[in-house]
Amino acid sequence: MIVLHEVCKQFMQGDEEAHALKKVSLEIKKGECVVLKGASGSGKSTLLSLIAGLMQPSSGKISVDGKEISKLPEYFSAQLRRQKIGFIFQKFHLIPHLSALENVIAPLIPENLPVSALEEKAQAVMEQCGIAHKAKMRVNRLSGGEQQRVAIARALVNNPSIILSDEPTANLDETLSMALIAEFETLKQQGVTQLIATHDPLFFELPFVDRIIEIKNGEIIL
Amino acid sequence: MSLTPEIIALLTLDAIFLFFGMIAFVLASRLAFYWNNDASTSLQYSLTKQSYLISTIIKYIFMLKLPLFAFFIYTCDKLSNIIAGAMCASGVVNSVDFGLYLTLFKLLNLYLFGFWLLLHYADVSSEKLPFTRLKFILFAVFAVPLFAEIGLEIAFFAGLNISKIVSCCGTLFSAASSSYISLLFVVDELLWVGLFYGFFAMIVLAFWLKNSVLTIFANAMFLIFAIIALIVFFSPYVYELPTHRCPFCLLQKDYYYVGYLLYILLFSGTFYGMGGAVLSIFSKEKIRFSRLSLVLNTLYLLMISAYPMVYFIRNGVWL
Repeated sequence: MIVLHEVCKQFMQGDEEAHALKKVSLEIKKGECVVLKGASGSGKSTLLSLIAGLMQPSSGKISVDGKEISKLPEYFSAQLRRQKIGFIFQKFHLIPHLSALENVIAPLIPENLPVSALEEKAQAVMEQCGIAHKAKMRVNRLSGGEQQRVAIARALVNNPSIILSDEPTANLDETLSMALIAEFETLKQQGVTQLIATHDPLFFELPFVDRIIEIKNGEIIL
Repeated sequence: MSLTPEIIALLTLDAIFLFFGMIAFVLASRLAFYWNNDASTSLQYSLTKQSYLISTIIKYIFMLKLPLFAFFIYTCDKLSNIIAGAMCASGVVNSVDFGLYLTLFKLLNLYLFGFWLLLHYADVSSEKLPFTRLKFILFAVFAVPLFAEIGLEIAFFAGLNISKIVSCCGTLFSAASSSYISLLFVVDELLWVGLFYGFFAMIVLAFWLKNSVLTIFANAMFLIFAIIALIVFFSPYVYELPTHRCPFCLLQKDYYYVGYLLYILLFSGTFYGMGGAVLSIFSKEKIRFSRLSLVLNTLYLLMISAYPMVYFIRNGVWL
């Protein structure tokens, strides 16, 4: 379960303080699939980054499965991400000079498993995501859709109980978007908690989505 | 003041430590005052960020201070070549009135700074940062000896007079010494040696009983009597000279720099013993580093005891 209590996030833009999130309170139950909609700059990505522990709030509390994560030191925050959270970024954030397989293996490296076990695990997830045939290719030679599938495989390789997706279909055509949505539905059936930040209308009518929350100017309005 | 490259290096580092230490002192005092890990206010989040910065500054100051103690002694040892009468670091240290006290003060600070590093390590090893407030309060306290040491070190090098003839270590560490050191020779040396081995036995007992207070006491006493026993009993066997009892000459090339190894074993052994036990009192957990401390102290004891044993086996007499 993810709980946010009066979370604020401010950034400095030049000399002025910009309020990315204003006292956001939210609860997402285990296994729930929530779509977070809102225009660009509304605070969706900031909210996801805060839940993933990629940044700290300016005030307020965030807890994941009963553990307060908002003040975790970086080492423990990374540990939590490795154990519980998979993050699908809008711009993929893959390591360009590594192969698709190596990118998927990357989050497993701290587990200290033998190379064969790492490859086996990564290969299995890549097959699930339909990208196993490109395993040996460098990711900067892959198309946008293929890169997105590598990014999804990387997010899933640790068997996370929470998936956070930031504009996952922004760089995909409609066919690939539908394939990705099918993947999200499978994850929902597996009981994975999902928070999908998007302004893609494809997500607003999906039967497996439990709730749609709208965020505007850093405030939740629905 | 004579400015050798070593002195310039030490004074430059002192200036850097003073500058960053002052910044850390101001921020640490504020942090110690306002820190509340249960709060989720913007002040607490900003203090959390500041705490990383301040901890890093303090950590590097203290981490550098540890080897700089050895470098200070090395510098004094090197200066003995240009100061008339001085045969080793001891003569240089004693050429300034407070030189010996400065050395002992530096040694005490090594333990204080080392303890802060242990506490910092224990703090950042836990996700709840249980010692953050305590470590900044302690830094605010330890900053006083830190700044005092820097001030005394500057005064020490400023007070060095290379044209003044000083006493050599043979005189300083003898019954004829005009300092308090002569008092060590009033008592039978076997009493000091007995206390040295006795407190080692107490360390073993404390390890077996897992008693924090006893561990702290035994290690502190072992440190004191190890140094005294080294001066009054063991050192003549290292030098193979019945009247030479200097604890500094051990650090010279003539004796294969064995002093560095001996002192590292003794200081780190007693430090881990005391530090780990103090930490266990604060954290209410079992004593950390007790095995490491016992191993290091035992190695020191075996190594220093080997000198008279080997001498006796080879020559059939005690010095």
